[in-house]
Amino acid sequence: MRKMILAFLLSCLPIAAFAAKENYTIDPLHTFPNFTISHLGFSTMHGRFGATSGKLTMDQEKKTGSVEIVIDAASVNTGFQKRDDHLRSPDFLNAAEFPEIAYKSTKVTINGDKATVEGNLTIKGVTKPVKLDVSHIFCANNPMKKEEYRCGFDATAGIKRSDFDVTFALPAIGDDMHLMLEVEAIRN
Amino acid sequence: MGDLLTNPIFQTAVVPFVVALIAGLILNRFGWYWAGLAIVIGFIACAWLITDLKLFPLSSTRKIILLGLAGIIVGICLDIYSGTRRFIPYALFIGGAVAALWVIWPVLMRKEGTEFWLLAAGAAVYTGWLVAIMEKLREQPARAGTAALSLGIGTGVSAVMGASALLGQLAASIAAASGAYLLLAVFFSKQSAGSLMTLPVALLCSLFGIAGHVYATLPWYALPILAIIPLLACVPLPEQKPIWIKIALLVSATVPAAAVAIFITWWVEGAPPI
Repeated sequence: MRKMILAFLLSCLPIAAFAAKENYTIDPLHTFPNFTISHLGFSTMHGRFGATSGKLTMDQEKKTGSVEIVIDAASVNTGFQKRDDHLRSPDFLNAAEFPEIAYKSTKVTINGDKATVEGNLTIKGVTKPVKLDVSHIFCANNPMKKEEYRCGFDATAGIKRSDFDVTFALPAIGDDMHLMLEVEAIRN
Repeated sequence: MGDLLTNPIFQTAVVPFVVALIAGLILNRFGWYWAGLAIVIGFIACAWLITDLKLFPLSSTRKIILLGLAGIIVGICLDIYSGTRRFIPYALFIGGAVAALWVIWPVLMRKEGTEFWLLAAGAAVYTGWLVAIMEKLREQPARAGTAALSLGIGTGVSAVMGASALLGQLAASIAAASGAYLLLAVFFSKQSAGSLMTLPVALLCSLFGIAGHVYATLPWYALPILAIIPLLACVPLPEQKPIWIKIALLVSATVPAAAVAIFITWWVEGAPPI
């Protein structure tokens, strides 16, 4: 009898672990990386990437998780086709040669509805550590689709494009870029 | 001074022209054979201003600059070589084709079927052809210089309109440096070209054109127009005329082809967003 109870308790352990850690798939229709950069000192140009994929995990008990995001470099959109073509060219993102921009976390620390994500960002084949400041973490059932459980958050970071070998037209076009990610993911 | 060094016109036109002029005058002390190197030195000066001549991490643009530098060494070897030269254009064709495939490999490997073969064949033939045909002009400095000038103008301006100012500036700097070379040719009749000039110039111009199509939006049908420039540089010239008239005639024969390529690119892509 005791052996049966012990066996039952041991078999529950992995189930408990799975329940704590949840896996999510990035919703590409509601996940958009955005950026701003100085344009010749006159104004701040805004742009976004329209195609994103990835996955994330969240462990609310251990207050940790992981993030992997892949961005289609060719999906850059600044509202002006010729500028977008220029951004895709070898002058900037070289999207034909380096089609993906990727971010992979190495450490996630969740604190209520905020988090700090440390990870590596890869642009144009160059990988550098970048820290994301995450705010407004919110997880709930989708009111439009009750069976779907999703989590969303906003994340920001600052980078220098020259760190990623994107050096054309410096300093006329700014080096400092502000990144803002709006992320939603659906629980698997 | 900082603003001047980052000015695109200064980087692309003034610096390569002045540097090529000075390099040609200095190199003439070692014999006018080395004058052809002036064009490549002018290009290197422009590339240094724009890219710091960083070669790593290796990208398509840096591969092209690396191949241009390698072309100087191979060109010098070809000029020193005293054996039979019949096979050299064929060997250069194959070498140019391989160089083109190496530059566009990251895009080529993601293509399949007809798309793969069309891109591979087109890039290989374009670069191989230009490298081989420019070799024919190695002993005719005026023809080689005007071919380099028109190839640089056509490739450079087309690349800018094809959404890559970087490729355009680098290619156009060859035109500026060629202008200095031709100016020297007017005053110094013993000037030579040699494979040390024709090979790197042909490699650089052809690969910038291919990269402009593959990595930016330069339309492929502008490239065959540029490919006939070395042929146009072979037009018959009046023997007794002074060199400057011959150069003027050659420029008037080759520049229209560059203009047509630029027009085609403008027609398809429109003016660059300046």
